[in-house]
Amino acid sequence: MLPSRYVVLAAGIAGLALLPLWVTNPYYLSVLTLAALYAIFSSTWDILSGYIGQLNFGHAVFFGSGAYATGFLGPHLPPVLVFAAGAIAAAVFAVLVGLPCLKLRGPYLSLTTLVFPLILERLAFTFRGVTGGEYGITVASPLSPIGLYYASLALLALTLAVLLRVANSRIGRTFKAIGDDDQAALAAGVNTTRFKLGAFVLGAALAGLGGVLYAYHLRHVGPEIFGLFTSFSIVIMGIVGGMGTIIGPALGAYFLTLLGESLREVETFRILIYSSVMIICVMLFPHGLLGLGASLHHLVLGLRLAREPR
Amino acid sequence: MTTSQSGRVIVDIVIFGTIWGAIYTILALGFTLIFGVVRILNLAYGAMFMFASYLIYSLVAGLGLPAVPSWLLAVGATALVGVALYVAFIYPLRDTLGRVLIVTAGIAIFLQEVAVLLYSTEPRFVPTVLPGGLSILGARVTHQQLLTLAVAVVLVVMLHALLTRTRFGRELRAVAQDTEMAALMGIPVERTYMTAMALSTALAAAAGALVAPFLTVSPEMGWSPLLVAFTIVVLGGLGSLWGTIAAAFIVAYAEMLTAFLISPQLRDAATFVIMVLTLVFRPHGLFGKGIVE
Repeated sequence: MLPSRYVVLAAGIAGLALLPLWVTNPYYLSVLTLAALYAIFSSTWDILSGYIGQLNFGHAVFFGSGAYATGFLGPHLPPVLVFAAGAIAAAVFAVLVGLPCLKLRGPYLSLTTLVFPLILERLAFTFRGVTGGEYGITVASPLSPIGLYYASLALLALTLAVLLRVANSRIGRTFKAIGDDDQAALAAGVNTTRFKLGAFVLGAALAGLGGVLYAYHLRHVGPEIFGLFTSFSIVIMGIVGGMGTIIGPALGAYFLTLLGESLREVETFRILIYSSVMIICVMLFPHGLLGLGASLHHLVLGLRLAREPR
Repeated sequence: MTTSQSGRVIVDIVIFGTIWGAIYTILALGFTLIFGVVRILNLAYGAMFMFASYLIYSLVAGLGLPAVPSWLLAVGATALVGVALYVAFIYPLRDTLGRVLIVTAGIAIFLQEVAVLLYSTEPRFVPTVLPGGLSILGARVTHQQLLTLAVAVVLVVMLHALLTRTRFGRELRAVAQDTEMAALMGIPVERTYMTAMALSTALAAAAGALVAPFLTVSPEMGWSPLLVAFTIVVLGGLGSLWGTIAAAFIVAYAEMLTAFLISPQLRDAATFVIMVLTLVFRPHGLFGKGIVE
């Protein structure tokens, strides 16, 4: 696709990098860090869900395993190795979840991916000796809040660059072909198994790195990271931003995180806002924020047609 | 563990597995109706179960209404909500399975948070209709649980009669088998879909009414029943009553074995594992009449 996309991306990241010059309030800085992390999670979600078109309802497995790896290994290893461990843990889970999902499609894949984090959540509650049960594990961050912000932003830039590079290459076109019709892709000689597993592992490993930063940011990791709403909020961000575009889900993450925080009194309101925005999007703007212009055009056109006398 | 203790555990597993098997049968039959007839996956199915449970809590504990009218009212109201959701959200998206999946998930999350706002996350208790209990081979069973079992059996028999003995049942099965042919034969397909949705949510509500007295009512209570129903449908296949019943009891006994022998917290993890294993190794279900192409 056009190189201008990368220019816009670089400008956006540069803009975000300059924000701390004005945003000095530590609370707002932490919200911005969170938004960058969610943008990492939703854009990595998009490679499987948007490009191959298999709705993953359990992305939390990947960044959650990265976060738990940080909880387990943080005190014993230097940060560089913790990041490696987070990515490896997520990649291992990508193979574990990906293998049974290879034969599945549509709602079957979605519900299968949905139950994996729930199984991990139950295990984390049950084996409290290892995981700390519902209290989870306290994590010490090697980075200051501002350092964490720039680390998250750097990882976001890396993630978006890698994903866009992959998406706009032969591999990305193959992903789309598998998404359109995987039998046809298979008949055309595409090793769909390898590509599907590849999409799982690539998205997961980057999300696992994000999971390490997420644990540093929260200074804690607990079973709620595998909860239903954690995974669903990633799906919501991706759909609201516009699936199959990489940039869209990242925008959706920023949009919803900032919207949710600005209106936030209680957690409940945030979830109500997320779910209603998503319902409105699915009903009226199926291409999300990025496709808003086209969707509005369609809507107005439809209304005009409906009003025309027959 | 002494012999008498382990004997007691076995009796517990058998008795509670049977009661839950009956409830799961109802849940799964309701889920099959919408899945098999309308061919959509309704992720708000569990939210209907939750909605009915809270309605019964409000009617019985809040307004002090007697139990049986509260049950009937809750089942009727939930069926209406189901039809309203179908008309407003599912019907316009029905041709795209993925969007139905997303929108029904959104509705389920939305309703769950509405419940949090109205009732807080604190679990609520619905008073039992029949107090007291009895002891079967050393295991204590409440009268309420026996009533649940009896009502569940009656409901399954009634539903079976409805589907096999009435004109409506024949129309429903015709639409499930071949929608276009059914439409050509003059069956009002859209009306059949709406009735199937009403019946499906009514069954979810009935299951909610049956278990509310011996379960705590909480906002997130709908997700397990949804995943349990999906697992049973995957395991037992669509359109076979006996397949569904067998699968419901397999899931119920597996859950009870896990809960009593390993840890109660891992109860629904057992179901999730069954779901994944079935989809991977027996995608056509136990009895071959599978749903996965």
